Amino acid sequence: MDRLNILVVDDDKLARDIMGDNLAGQVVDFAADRAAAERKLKAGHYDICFIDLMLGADDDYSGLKLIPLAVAKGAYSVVMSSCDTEETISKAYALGCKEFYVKGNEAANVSAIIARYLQGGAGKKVDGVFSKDFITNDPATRAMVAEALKYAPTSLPLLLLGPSGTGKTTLAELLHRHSGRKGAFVAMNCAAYTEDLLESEIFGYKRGSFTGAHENRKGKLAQADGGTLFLDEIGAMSQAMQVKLLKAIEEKSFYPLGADKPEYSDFRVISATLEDVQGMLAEGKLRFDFFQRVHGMTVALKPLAQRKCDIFPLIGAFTKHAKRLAFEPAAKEYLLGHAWPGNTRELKHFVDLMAAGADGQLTLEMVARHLKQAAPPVAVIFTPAQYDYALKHGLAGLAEDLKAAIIRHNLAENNGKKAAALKQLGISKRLLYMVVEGKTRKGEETNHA
Amino acid sequence: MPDMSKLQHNIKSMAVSLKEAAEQLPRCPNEKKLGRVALMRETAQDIARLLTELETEMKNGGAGQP
Repeated sequence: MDRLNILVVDDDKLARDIMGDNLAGQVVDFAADRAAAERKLKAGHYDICFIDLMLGADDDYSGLKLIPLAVAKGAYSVVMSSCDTEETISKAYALGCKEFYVKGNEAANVSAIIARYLQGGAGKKVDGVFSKDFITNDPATRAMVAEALKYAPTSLPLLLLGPSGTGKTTLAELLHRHSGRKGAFVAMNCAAYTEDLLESEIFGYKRGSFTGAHENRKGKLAQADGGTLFLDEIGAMSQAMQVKLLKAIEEKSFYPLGADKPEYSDFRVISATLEDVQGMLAEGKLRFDFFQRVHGMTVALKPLAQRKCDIFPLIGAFTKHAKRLAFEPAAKEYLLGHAWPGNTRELKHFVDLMAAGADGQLTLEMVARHLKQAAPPVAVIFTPAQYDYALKHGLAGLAEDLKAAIIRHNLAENNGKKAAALKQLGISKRLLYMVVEGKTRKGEETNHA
Repeated sequence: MPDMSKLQHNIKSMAVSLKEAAEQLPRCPNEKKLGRVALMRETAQDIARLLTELETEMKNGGAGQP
C-alpha cells in the first residue's frame, strides 16, 4: 500500500502526538492553528485532512472554516472534535467534510477512516482492486466484492461462500488489507486438522499440557491479535469446537490448552465454506449460535464456469511476471467451453503447466490434451455404458431408467418395504408406485442403469 | 477570558486526549514514553488551570453556567 499524505490540524500538543502514533507508516504533517493549516493546505497535497474544530482557547470553531479549503484541495476531510452538537455536525457535513467523529477512540477510528478512504472514499481506487487484487470483469462479482469492501474496515464478521478454488482466501486477504487492522492475516483450513490438533492450533498450548508439548505455543487466535483470523471450511469443525470458538469470538478471550489464565486477542473473523450453509444448519452440522457469530455480511462467489469473462484476464495476471501465453482461436474456444470444476485454482495450475512447456503459442490439441487429462473421473458419477445409453436414448430416458433401477435396488435391500424406500430416497409415493408397477418409460421394463 | 462553554469544551477535549494517551501508553515506544508522560503532565496542568478558570467564572456567575 502506498503511504498516504495526511495533515492533522489540532491545537492540542498531546492530541497531535497521539495522532502521530496512530498514523505511523503514513507521511504525516501537523498544524496547530488555522493560519498554519491554511498555509500547508495551499502549498501541499494531502490525501486525508483531520481537523479539530476549536483551534485555540478562545477560538470560534475556526476548524470549520478549513473544511472548504481542504475539500477544494482534494483532501478527504475528517472532523475529530470534542464538540458534537447537532448544529456543528450538520454544518461540518454541509461544508463538505466526509466523516465526523467525537474524540476519544482515535486508534480504532483512524484505521477505519484510512481503510474507508482507500476502498471507497477515494472512489477510483476500488477499480484497481479488480484489475490487480481480485481479478474479475463479472459485474455481479464486482458488485458483491465492492459491497464486501465497504464492510472491510468494520469489525463485523464476514462469511465467504463458493466452491473450492473460487478465490475465497484471496478475497479474505484483500478484505484484511482493506480493514486497516495492523495485525497479521492468519488463515487456517479447519478440514486439515483432527479434532485435537485443531484445538491446539486454534487456542495454542502451554508447555507440558500434553505429551510432546515441549514449549509454549501461540495458537491462531493469539497470532491474529489486531488482525484477521480466516477460518476456511468451518463446516469441518465439530459442534464441541464450534462452542469453544463461539465463546472466544464473543469474549475475545480464550484459554490455551493447559493454561489456567485466559489470554486476550483482538481478532476479526472471516470464515468460509464450500458447503451449503442452510443444509449444514438443517443437519445440525453447523450450530445456529455459532453461525450467527460468524455470518455477518455474506459473499457468495460464483464458480469460474459462470464468469467466463474472467478466464483470459486471469491467465494474463498469472503470467504477468512469467512467460506470456498466446492461444489460437480454437484453443480459446475450448478454454471458454471447459467446465473448470477446480475453478481459479485449476486455471492457475493449467497456466503454470502450459507456461513451463516449450511453446508459448498454444494450439487446440495442446490445450485439450491437458484439460481432458485433468478432468475429474467420470466413473464416480456415471459409467461409460450409461453415457452411451444417454447418447442413444436421450438424457431423459437414462435419468428415468436410473431412477427406476435405484428404487428397485433400494426396495430389494429393504425386503420390499415401501415406507423405507420412500424415507431413504426422499421420493414421492406416485414415483414409487409407477416403478413398482413398471409404468416408467411408457411401461417398458428397463434395467440399463 | 474564554466563555464558559469554550472552557468546558477545552477541558473535555484535553481530558479525552489525556485518557487516550494513558490508554496508549503501554504501546508507546520506550524511547518516546518519557516525552509522552511529560506531555500528559502538561495537559493535566492545563486542565487544572482551566478548571480554576471555570470555578472563577462560576463564582462570578458567568454566562453558560453548567
